[in-house]
Parts: sequence; structure tokens; C-alpha cells
Amino acid sequence: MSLFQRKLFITTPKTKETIKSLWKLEKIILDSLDFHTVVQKICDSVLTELGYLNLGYRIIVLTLVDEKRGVLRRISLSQTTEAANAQAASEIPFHEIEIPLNATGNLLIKTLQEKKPQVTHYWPEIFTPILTEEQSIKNQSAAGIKTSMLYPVIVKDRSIGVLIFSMIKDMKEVSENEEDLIKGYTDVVGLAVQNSLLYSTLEKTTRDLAKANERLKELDKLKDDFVSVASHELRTPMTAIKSYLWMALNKLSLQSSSPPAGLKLSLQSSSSPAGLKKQDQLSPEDLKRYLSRSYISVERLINLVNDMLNISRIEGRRIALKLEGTDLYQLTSDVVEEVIIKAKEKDIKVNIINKPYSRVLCDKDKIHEVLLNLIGNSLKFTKNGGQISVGFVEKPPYVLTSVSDNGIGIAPENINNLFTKFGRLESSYVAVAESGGTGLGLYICKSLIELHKGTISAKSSGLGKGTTFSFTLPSVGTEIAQKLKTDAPKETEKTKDLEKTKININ
Amino acid sequence: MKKQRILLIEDDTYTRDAYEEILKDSGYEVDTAVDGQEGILKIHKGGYSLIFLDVMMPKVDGLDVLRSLKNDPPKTSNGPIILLTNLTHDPVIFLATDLGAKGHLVKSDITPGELVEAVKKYIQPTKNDKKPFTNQEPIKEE
Repeated sequence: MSLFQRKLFITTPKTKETIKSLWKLEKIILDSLDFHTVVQKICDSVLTELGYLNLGYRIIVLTLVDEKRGVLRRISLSQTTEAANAQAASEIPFHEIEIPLNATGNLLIKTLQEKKPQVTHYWPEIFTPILTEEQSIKNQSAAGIKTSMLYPVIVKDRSIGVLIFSMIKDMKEVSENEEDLIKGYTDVVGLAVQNSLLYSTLEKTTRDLAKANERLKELDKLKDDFVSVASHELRTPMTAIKSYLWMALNKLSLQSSSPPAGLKLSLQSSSSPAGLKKQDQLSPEDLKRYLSRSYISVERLINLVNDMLNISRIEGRRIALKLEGTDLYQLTSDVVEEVIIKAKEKDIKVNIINKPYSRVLCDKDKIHEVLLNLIGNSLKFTKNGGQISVGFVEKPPYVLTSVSDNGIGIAPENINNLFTKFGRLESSYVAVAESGGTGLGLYICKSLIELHKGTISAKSSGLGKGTTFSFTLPSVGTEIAQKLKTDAPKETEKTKDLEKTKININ
Repeated sequence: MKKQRILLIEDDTYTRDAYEEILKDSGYEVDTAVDGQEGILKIHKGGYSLIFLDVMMPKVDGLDVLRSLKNDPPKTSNGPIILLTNLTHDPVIFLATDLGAKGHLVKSDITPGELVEAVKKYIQPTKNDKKPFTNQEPIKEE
């Protein structure tokens, strides 16, 4: 016998015949690794390959410990007529017969705990408390079983299950050789089950890892794309700043005829300062325009960086929500207060139509940002003399807040683009450059509202017909509010606040 | 002498205004378009000595402008089309070259002065000297 085999068999088989049979069974069972194939072979091969059917063996059942659920589960049974009959008679399907590990009165549990074989002629001993005594007896007689031998399946000194051999003969008819083989066989089963469990776990882990890897690749690609678009977006205001400052410096240097070191400026270096052409003179109006455009572009750059940081924090769940019951009317009034001067400059009326009935669960600062963004957008895209109104509607379990204006509106085909990163609309390009807009505001609003388990949407009857933005937040005390409390990102060392993006309305 | 005409297709207001101003100051006649759609219409009217074309634009982007011109060439001819973009190391640049762009300038890399120098390079003397335009790097100085 090889070392491997000697290690394998806890009890040494007594005859050459038994060793040969075991060797055969072992080859059959250890041949496959898939769990379901292995456990089925365990129950069938003794009967079919070794002809134990002729020796009166009829049903072989493998049960295994499910530690998580604290039960001994039926895993597989032999494909014989008697097994089918027992199953047909049973009130509970085979796989659902689970014996609690603390049911110490059950002989299977006793076998498991004492790690010693047991014998029963009376099935209630192995089916209670799951089946009644009556049901167990009915099943036993339907299957025509006289005796069941129970063998613990042991791996590294630990019982992992019980193998049940049920026969149509008495215990005294079981030969020494049979018993010997069954003991040896149970050892092989332990090894086979463990191997296949390991294999199945490994396979599942491999599949899970492959899936996770795919997802990571996708995320990586998204991040790459974002970085590429973002760097392009950053260069736009940088170009404006560089160009206007260069123009200011160039004209200044033409006037003073001494360019600062390190900067090649002059276009017509041959022309003398005295004979400056009209276009090369720097008027105070020009200078003011160059500088103010540079200034606004710098602000746009800062806003871009802030918004990008915010997005990265929201997506990485590094923004904690400090949830509290909130009066949306009060919150909206605070926001309107902030923009009222700008609104008055444009002669735009801002009304809060009604009060919401219920309070909502939200992070005040975050929703303040959302409202400021939406109302700010309305101010940007509404002509002088226009009107903005904010209203609330109860939509249990939510409160819906809507911000409506009678501004330039949105073409239907563009509605879907609104909430994407850099998804700004063509009609807004001029306003974007002049207001320091980033094309990220609505994306951030959407992310913040979704973080609160709400939704955000936009509606417009078309260009020139105004726009309505609406978002929902969970009412205090609702189930969804409770779920928000559980799921919302909590404050940790890694969480940070939102960077404040300044809104310019021109 | 009649002024050379330049078409500037650029969606960002500030950038467009700055380039328009510097090119006008340098003695060129400048026409602008705020997106690819307007750009195509103007190109079809023809008569430009040089066309600066941005890539990332709403409605019709720079590549689509080039595709449209390839499928439906303007009846009146124009000077070369030069990409004026903030995309760097992007496959778009090669695509655009394949589609007929004759050069490539990165806006954030150049000063308005360098833009004017590039114009001088790309607008060839109209008489005898009719070399084909090649893909050249923007003029840089240290």
C-alpha cells in the first residue's frame, strides 16, 4: 500500500479483497471534482460498482453539517427504487429534511458528536424532530428498510457529516468484510467531499474574481475617460487666461518697449513705440476686459477643480451624510436669501409657493448645494424680468421639491444629457463661459439626491418655454428614511465635506 | 491689397473672442462660427485663406465637420484646415489628419502671438510658390 493510502485509511482494511474494492471506489469518487457529481457518486457507487444491491443494501444517503445554519443537511441519495419510494412517501422533500445540530435525541446527531457508528431499525430515531414518529414509520415501510447503519464522515478528526446505509436485512446478516469495507469507504468519502468542496469554493472564487476584475477594468476605463475629458475642460479656461494676459502684457510692452525677461511678446517688434498703431494701444477699457475675463476664467478653473473633487468624493463614498429631520421650506428660504441680490439685479422674482406638510430626512448642507445649484441655474437661464418658483408636493413616502422658471427652456432631445458629466447644452455655452459654470453641477445634484435615495428629473415644453427641475427626498419616519439611515455613508477619518462651488449669475 | 480671410470655428466664447481680436489686430479679416454646423455652412461659402477648427464642440464636432467636407466638398475652394484644439496625444488628431486637416495646434500650449506666427506659416504666398501643405508642428520658441 502506498503512503497516500496508508494515510487515507484511519482503520486498516483487513482483506485484500476489501482493499481492492476500496481502491476501485476511491478511483471512481476521486476522479471528479465537481461537488454535485462527487456526492452523487458517493451514494451510488457502492451499490452499483460493488454489487452491494445483491447484499441487501438499498438506500445510501449523505448528510453534511451546515455550520452557518446549525443543521445537518441531506445532500444526496442513491438512485434506487427504494429511495424513490421513501421520497414519494415523505411529507417533506428530501433536501429540506434538516436536523438541527442541537437535536441531541436524533441518532444522526449522536453519530456526528460521538464519531462512532450507530445502527437503527426504527427511522423515527433519525428523522425526528423534523418528521413525526408516524411519518417516519410510514416512510420506512414505504421504502421497505429493516436496518440503517450510520457512519460518521470524519476529516482531520472533525465530523463533517453522516453516511446512512439502509438495508432490507438485519444487522446480524452484515458480514465482517462488509463492515470493514463500509468503514474504509467512509474515510474515502470524507476526503472526496473535502476535495470537491475546496474545488467548488475555488471555482466560485475564481468566477467572482473574474467578475470583479471586469468591473474594475470598466471603472478604470471610466476614470481614464473622465481624466481625459476633465483635462480638456481644464485647458479651456487656462487658454483664455493665458491669451488675455498675454494680450495685456504684449500691448503694455509695445508701449514701454521693454518686454519682461523670458517672455516673447511683441508681434511687430520693428515698430517703434512712438508710432504705435491703433490696435496695439492698450486702452483702459481693453485692460479691464482682459483682466476681468482672466479673473472669471480663474474662477471657472477653481470651480472645475472643486467639482471634480466633489465628484471623486461622492463616487468614492467619501462624503458622509449628516442626516436630520429638515424643514425644506426653511432650507429653501435660506438659499433664496443667498441669491436674492443677484435676482434683483436681473429683476427676477423668486417665490416659494407653499410649505411641505412633512419634514424630510436629509443632510442640510448637501441639499442646500442642490437647491443653490438649481435656483442658480434658473437665474442664469432666465431673462431679466422673469420668474422662478419653488414648490413642494407630498408624494409618500417622499416630498417632491420643484424649481420652475420661465427661462430659455430645453429642447426635448437634450433633456437626457443634462445630468451627465460635462453634459451641458449647446444653448448654455455662452452662459457657461461667462458664469464660470463647469458642466458638472447637475451631475453632482443627481449624485447627491441619489445618495439620499431620491430621484431628480427635468421637464421643459421646449426652447423658450421655461424649465422645471424636480427632486424627491424621503419623509421623516418612513421605511425608506429608515433604509437611508442604514445605508448612507457615515462619517469616518476618510470622509470630507463638499467643496463649495461659487455661482456667478450674469 | 485685399485682406486674407480666416475662419475661426470655436465654441468657447472667451477663446474665440481672444483669437478673433489678435488676428484682426494682425491685419486679417476674421469670420467666426460657434459650432461645427455653422462652420460647415461658412466653409461652403468659401474664400478663406485659412480655417481654424476646434474639435470638441456641440451639435457637430470638428471630426464631423471634416467628414462632411470629404463627402460633400465645397464648390468654392479654401485654404488649409488646421485643428485648433486642447486635445493632446489623442487618436482624434490622427483621424483628423486622415480626414484632411493639414496641421494641429494645442491652444493651451501657444500664445496668441504664436497663433499669428502659425497663420503666417500656413498662409502661403499666393503667387508662384505653391508648395503642398504638410503636417507641421506649431512654431515654438524657447
